[in-house]
Amino acid sequence: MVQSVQMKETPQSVESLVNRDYAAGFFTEIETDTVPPGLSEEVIRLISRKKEEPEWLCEWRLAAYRHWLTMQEPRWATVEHPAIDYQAISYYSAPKAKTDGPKSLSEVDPKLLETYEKLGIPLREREMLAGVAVDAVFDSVSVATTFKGTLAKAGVIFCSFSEAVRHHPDLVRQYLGSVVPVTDNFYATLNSAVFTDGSFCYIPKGVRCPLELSTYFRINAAKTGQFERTLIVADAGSYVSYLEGCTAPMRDENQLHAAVVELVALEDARIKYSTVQNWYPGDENGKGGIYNFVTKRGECRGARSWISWTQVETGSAITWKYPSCILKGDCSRGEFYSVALTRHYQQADTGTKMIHLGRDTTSTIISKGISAGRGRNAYRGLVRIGKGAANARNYTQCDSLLLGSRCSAHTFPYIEVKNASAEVGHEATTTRISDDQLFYCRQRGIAMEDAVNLIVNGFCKAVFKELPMEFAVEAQRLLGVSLEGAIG
Amino acid sequence: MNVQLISPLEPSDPFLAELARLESRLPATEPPWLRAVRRRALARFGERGFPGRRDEDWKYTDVSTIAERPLRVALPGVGPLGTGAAGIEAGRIEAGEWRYAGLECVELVFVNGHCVSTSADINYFYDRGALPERTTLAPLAAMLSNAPPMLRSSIQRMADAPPDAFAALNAAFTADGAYLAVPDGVALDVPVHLVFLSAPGDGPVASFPRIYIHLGKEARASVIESYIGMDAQENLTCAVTEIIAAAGARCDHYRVQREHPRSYHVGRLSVSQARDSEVTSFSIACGARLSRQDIAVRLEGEGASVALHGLYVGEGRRHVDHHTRIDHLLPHTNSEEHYKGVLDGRSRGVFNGTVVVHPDAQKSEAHQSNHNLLLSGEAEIDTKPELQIHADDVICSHGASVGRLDPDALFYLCSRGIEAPVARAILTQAFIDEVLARLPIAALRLGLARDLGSAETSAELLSALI
Repeated sequence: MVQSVQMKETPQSVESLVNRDYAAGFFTEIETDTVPPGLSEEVIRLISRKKEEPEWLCEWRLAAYRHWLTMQEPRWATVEHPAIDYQAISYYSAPKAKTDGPKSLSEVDPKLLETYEKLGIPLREREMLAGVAVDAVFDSVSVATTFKGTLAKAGVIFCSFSEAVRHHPDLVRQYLGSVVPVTDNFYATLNSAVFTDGSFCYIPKGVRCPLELSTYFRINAAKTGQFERTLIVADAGSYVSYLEGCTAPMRDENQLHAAVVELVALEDARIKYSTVQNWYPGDENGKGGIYNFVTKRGECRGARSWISWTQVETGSAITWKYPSCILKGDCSRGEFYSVALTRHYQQADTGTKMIHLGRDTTSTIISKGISAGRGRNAYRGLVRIGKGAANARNYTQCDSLLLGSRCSAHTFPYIEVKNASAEVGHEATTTRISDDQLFYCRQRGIAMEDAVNLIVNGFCKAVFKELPMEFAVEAQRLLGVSLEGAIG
Repeated sequence: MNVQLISPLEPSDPFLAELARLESRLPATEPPWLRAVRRRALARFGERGFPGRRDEDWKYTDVSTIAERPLRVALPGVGPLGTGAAGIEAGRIEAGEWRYAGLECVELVFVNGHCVSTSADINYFYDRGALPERTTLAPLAAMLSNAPPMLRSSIQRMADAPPDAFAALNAAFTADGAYLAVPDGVALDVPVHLVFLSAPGDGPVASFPRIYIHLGKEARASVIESYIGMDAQENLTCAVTEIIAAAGARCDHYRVQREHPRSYHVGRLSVSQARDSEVTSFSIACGARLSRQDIAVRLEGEGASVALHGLYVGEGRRHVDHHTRIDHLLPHTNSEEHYKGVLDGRSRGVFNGTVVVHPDAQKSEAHQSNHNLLLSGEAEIDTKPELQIHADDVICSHGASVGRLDPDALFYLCSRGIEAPVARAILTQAFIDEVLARLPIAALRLGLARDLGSAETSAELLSALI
């Protein structure tokens, strides 16, 4: 509420901001160390070789590729996009020399800077986000080093995926693909075949990770590419909070993103995974934009383990993701909190799966969809209570807010219950901001834009409160910025 | 799609042979267009075949047991009133054991999809004034030789664009059913009760009744469809009902499915509603080994409203599936939907309720709920309430729940000296009662409550509850 009141834009700046072109824009340049477009076993062997991977991983990739050839793109989501030519994508490019970006912030589009200003992004990070070609920012390097020291002291392993393959092959081999098998779905299988890098995180027994890994990530965020692989293993009794993405608009050249995130929580372990996604959504006519086809799944393997997904999805032309929890351990708990905002021609088909297998497992799903303009928003969720999941509990609430007469909101909740002692409840509503609500705010002297902000933030509050504090603040501002001009 | 493009079925196709066998028993007065329509429908069916588990609409319902067995269509005139082949004795039809005590109604009786009520039977209702003069109620077979244009186009539409494989089969094999047309401004005082008895013929048979209900402007009618299994073994009933409600019409439709525990039942109800019309549908499913009910409502006029109520009861190894879809096509349309299920034994319930608010249907309101009670550890429920909203100025909500009997409530009753089985029965009855209480016809409400009540509920407790 405080945030929304703080924002005092004149209508002109609001207009221009909403209608602005995506400031950083897209551009392509020829890389010297890029594999020619196309996908074949040869390309996969090449990727594996370039990354100096062990034989088993290369075979693992090839097995995924061979299976992928037999698969078809999923068609069931309520999203529409032109056919993707998988042979037109280049599946490997060496880390780019940062000589092509703007030289300093003064060369960056002032509109983008304005957005950063509103979001309260620290100056250093602005440079990084805008793709400023700085070799190494002194501060951030030292900060990163400090963080590395703290983590090492606690015994936490947090590194890039390639590093993990080199230094901790046993851990990687044990857990890779154990939650999202290579045959899982079209995009996950593609990712398994061609992923280039990502993050690996291991929290040893009984350790409470001393940092929000988010903080580290933001400073240290390297370009992870379009086929990102994340694997987080929380050993018995440990705790970790991980934040992926960033509230600020990110510059990205790849249209198709097919990431895979796997979480493993052993006995008594707790993993909190938060995502703020604000990739390029395409222009107001629906041209361009990122296709974000992500497979995220966590497995509560041990008793009393806990996995919580929180996501704020405001970017991408198409979002297709279902962060899920497999509740295998007795008394384990899964949570899913989501805010998905679509405007212009954005499409989001998102939700979760809660698979209850162990006894006394519980899950909570809170999903808030906001559609504006011609945006399409779908919640698609599954709650499955297995035969052995005695006394399982689930509560699901998914609400949709419609702003504009040409947007749409869909709800597809699947509920499958095979155990009589389960209690499952699902509620969903679809409404728009009522004139009464707006009138109430207006007659108290609150400007239209701020009133909408206030109401929308109230609508999303149940989700924002799950985010790490500083991101909750940013997410609130982000929503405000994204919604400017949506009401009219 | 172009009808001409359909490839004809192989002459050796068993379905085609079955159709020929059926048509050899149908009156020669059947118009040629109808025979052509049947073949088109069969070709449509041939194109897609029976649905598999990979079809989203049939994800939870496996019809392979229907698909794998040979189809034998029930022929007209075979049965109690016809050639005297195996079936129900005429006496049982006279006795009418399916009737609801105290229900005054116009009754039409069918055996395996073919009407056994004579024109004298129907005239009796006209003479008594139960059917107003300009109203037409007749067996469908009697209407086909000189079909009214609306009926004819409805039959053609169902054959050329069947919503699913079973509707295509119905369009191909239907030869009888009921036709009810109520002219503008006419109201029927008593409900029309269509009784579909399923009886063993020469082994398991399949029947394909078709019911066509047309209500003129401001017309009113109540129709009860009862599907009753009479010692029938593995019969298949595949019924299609169409209701067309003109402006301001009001139709109450009740569908009670009490088929034999070993038989199969697939039913479809299509409703199209014009301006300010009101339709209420009750679907009670408490029979059959496997049953599937599809209800599709199109609100095609401003101010049209529909209410769908349903109750399904599963026991033994029963599989009971309800799929509903409501399309809000124009502004100011309303829908209400409340379904409840009680599942015991190793039964499995499926509910899928879709509400679609189309882009122009502003100011629409839609509410849906589905509540399920699991009484046994082996029972299963798969529910999916679905909203697809393409307009912003709407109020839509849905809710679904799955649970067991409240242990606190059970404890309370037991602490008051009520034995546990009776306490469970009372609570179950109370759960069911929420649906039954909405039935406006008292005789039907009481009859169903008696049929659905478990043995533990004593008559006194029951009457106290209702």
